[in-house]
Amino acid sequence: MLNYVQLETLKAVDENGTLEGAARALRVSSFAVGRRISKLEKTLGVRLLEKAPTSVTDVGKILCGHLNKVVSLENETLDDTREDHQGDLDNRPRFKIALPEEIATGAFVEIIRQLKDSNHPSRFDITICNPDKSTTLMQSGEVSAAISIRKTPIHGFKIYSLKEMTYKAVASPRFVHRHFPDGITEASLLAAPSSMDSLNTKWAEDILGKTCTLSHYNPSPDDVTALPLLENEAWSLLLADQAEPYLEDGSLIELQNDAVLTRQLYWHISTAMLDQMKIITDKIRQKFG
Amino acid sequence: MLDYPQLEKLLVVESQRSIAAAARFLDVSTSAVSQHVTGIEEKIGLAAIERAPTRLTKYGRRLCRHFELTQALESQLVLDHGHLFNTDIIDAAPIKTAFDDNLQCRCLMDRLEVLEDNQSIFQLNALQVKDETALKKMICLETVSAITGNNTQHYGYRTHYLGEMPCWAVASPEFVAENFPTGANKSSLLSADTAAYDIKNDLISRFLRENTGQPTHKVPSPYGVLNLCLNGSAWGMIPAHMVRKHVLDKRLVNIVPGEELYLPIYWHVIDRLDDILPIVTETIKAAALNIGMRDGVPK
Repeated sequence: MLNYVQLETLKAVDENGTLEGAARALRVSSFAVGRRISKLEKTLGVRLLEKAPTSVTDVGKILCGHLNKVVSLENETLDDTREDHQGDLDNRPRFKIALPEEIATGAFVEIIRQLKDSNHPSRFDITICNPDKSTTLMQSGEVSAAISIRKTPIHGFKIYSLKEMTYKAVASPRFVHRHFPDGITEASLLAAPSSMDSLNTKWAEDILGKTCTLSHYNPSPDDVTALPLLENEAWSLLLADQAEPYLEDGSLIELQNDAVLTRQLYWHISTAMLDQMKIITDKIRQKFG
Repeated sequence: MLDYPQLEKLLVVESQRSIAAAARFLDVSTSAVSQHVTGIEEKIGLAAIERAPTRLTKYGRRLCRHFELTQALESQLVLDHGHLFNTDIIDAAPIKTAFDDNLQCRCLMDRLEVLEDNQSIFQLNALQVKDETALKKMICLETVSAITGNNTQHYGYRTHYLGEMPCWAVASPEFVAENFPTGANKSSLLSADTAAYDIKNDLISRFLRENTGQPTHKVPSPYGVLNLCLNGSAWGMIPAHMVRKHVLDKRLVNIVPGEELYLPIYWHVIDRLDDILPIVTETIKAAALNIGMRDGVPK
């Protein structure tokens, strides 16, 4: 590798016109300047400096050009490093978790808020995943915890049993009046727009006693309502707890009374993250245990 | 300016994975190495390594790659103006390359290692990587480049499509006569013994468009698979450039003529290195064409 102290000295001579000027700029003796340049000339076997008047040769100019490139590369590297550092100042841990949609958008949002309030600094990277599909996400290490229907622990994970979740099929009274004027029939159930969820299909299949394909409600991109069913646009399964306040004030009603879907869920957590995520495990078990 | 002799010590710590090992390698005391590292850290105002266990921080890795990019700048200086001065002091730029442990990348790497061209300008330093997680780690400023079978983009790296490597299903004439007397079909291919590079038997599964389970023999070397086919133990999927000659000599038979499996290969390189020393990518692309990879638009 070239000696960059020597190259910098050569560049200082080029910029300052004399050995003395370069020496002042570099805060070394002009003897040191002369010695560095003659060493560089010896290593490269070529004249870099013309004496009387002092000027840098063509080869010397090429080397100065190379030095400029190295300096600008160096500045880019140092800028990148500082940018990295800015990003790293946020040193809160980031937790990667796979959750079913209804929990990710409902109960877990509250847990995130509670952690913030109780001064547990953390960041969350949530993947929305059907609880029957989360095994691969855990095995590949993409998430370090998940709510899943899997009963047995995955290697390297600890498992906690949660309570049985109860889901109710609900929609707004207007929606029910429009789409199910005569109650639930096979034809009306297949035709009424349903929010996109495999749970809805499972519930409908339980009701009809056979496999079926539901009509999907496709929210438009500028649809900002979190619960389209409140806007009369679809029916959906909701966690019973989640649906309770709406059922009470009458803004939602059940499609069919006492037709609940239940599902046993489990909290899987990587043993490596057990301590770090203890507070989250506690919150989850408090909420669903 | 950064102190380049000091940075060079940091690269030794990176490759030796500990300060003590770096000191032994450099034949100096551990405190001398520590002092160099501290000197760098004072200069940038950030930690370059994590102590216990010793591992470079992201900042340390950036500085190491910067050192290699500077070496690449010097190589380009030699290419452009090397005739004007004595270049003994400038070493060939070391280009660290992580490559996917799959058949197609292995074959390309084998070919690159025998390429003599440009060795005074840059030297490829290949690191075989066993799994995807390790590879992702490498393409996060641990190596300046990588060769993989997929076109996933990595931050700070530029991806070049190198082409597709054609593979043939081959076996010895005796093996074919014994196992496929009336011509090969899917079921006879499935029931015959197979040799494969990987336990997932990816190539044979892809060729037959069916998950075939584990191969009869797994040999993690393209030449191992080739030799098992040559000695009549099994049939296997082998890159065409390795077996073209054997098929001409009738020592191997292309079992399903006209049916080729194409394996795409991608070259990922730190974008600045690509700008500084474009000859590296040019050489890799030439090597890919050299082994008969089909150039074209990736699917």
